[in-house]
Amino acid sequence: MIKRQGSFGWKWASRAAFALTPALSVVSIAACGGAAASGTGEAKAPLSTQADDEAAADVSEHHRHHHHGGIAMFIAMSLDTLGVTPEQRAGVDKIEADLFSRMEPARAAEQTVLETLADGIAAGAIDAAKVNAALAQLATASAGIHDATAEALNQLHTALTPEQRGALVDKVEAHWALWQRANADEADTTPSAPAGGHLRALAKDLELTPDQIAKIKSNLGTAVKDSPVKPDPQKIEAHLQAFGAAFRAEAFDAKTLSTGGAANAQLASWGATRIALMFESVTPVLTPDQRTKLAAQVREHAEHKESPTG
Amino acid sequence: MNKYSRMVDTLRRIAPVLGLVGAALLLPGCYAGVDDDVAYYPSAGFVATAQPVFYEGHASYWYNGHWVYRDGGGRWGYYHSEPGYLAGRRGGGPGGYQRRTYERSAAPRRR
Repeated sequence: MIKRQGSFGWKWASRAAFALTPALSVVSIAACGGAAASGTGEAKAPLSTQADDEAAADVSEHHRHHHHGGIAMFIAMSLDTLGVTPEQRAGVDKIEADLFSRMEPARAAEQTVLETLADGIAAGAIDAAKVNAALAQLATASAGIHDATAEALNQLHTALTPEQRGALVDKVEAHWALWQRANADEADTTPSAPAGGHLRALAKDLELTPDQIAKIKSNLGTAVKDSPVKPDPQKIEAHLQAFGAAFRAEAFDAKTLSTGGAANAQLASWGATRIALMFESVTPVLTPDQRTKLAAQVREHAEHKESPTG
Repeated sequence: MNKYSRMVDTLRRIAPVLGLVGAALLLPGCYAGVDDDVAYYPSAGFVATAQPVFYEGHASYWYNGHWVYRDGGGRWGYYHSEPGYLAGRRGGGPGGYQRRTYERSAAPRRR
């Protein structure tokens, strides 16, 4: 009995093994062969972004000083490296020029903000009331950009292939990430913390002493806390998500996106306000020579004008 | 028991051992090959300023020695070996490209 049961078990075990061996081999070969045949894998997050950030330093510098276009500016800047075909180039350049043209009222408003700040830096005292009035005009102008550019965005969607639309959305999101890094000084203003994007750049350009940096951080901390304009990244991200999903789709109508006006106004308003807060915090701490140098730099930014040719 | 039956019987007996040895040898080697080939997806600074090459329905970027791309689900993938179409397009297509410089000069791009 025992012998019969043992013999029966072995018989079925060996039969199962006989059947499983080829199956195991097939699985092994499929696992190896499948990976080799598709030739693809999942990429990991980059270990360091320093070299990439340095290569994009000019874009970060732009994002630090120019906020008037909101998301529409990110879109226009993304067209530069989208990789459109020579046949598409003329049409896309025309749309890009149209986008910049529609942003012009907001650009002019931002220019007034920067010129007012430059005047104050040079004089050693910034006229806060005058700056606030200019900031309010900028917020109003930027809020109107989405509606003003809707037709150009629709034309852009038509002009691009599906994969180009996806790449554009990726680039717009990348610009938003860069913008946030370039304008991150308010995140930690304790004296011992490393300076953020803007303050780090100022420290290098103006050769700020550690004592000056500590005083600026202290002033900035108070100014940010007291400012009536607060950062609201969720508002911008909500629009980016809505725009990204809509723009990747086969059918697109920018006029149906209800989040654009508020997002552009928030980005422009917060971005320009934090520039004002930064310079209001920096100015009392600088030497006359440093003020002269900074005022010249701010005037240069004020005169900056984007266009499809540079 | 004839010769054929003995062969089948022997095969049945050694089949589990062959299966286990085969799996032990094949699978680790297979996955070691994949693990050794690590790729990283590009940072925001790179995506914002580099020109992609469009291939197989998505934008591909030459980044740190690999062609990487974002699939429809938002995940970053990469090619283990350089596809023929992409070879020679590492600079962003035939003839490369010259991106606009905003504000002040940017550092040279790593290739």
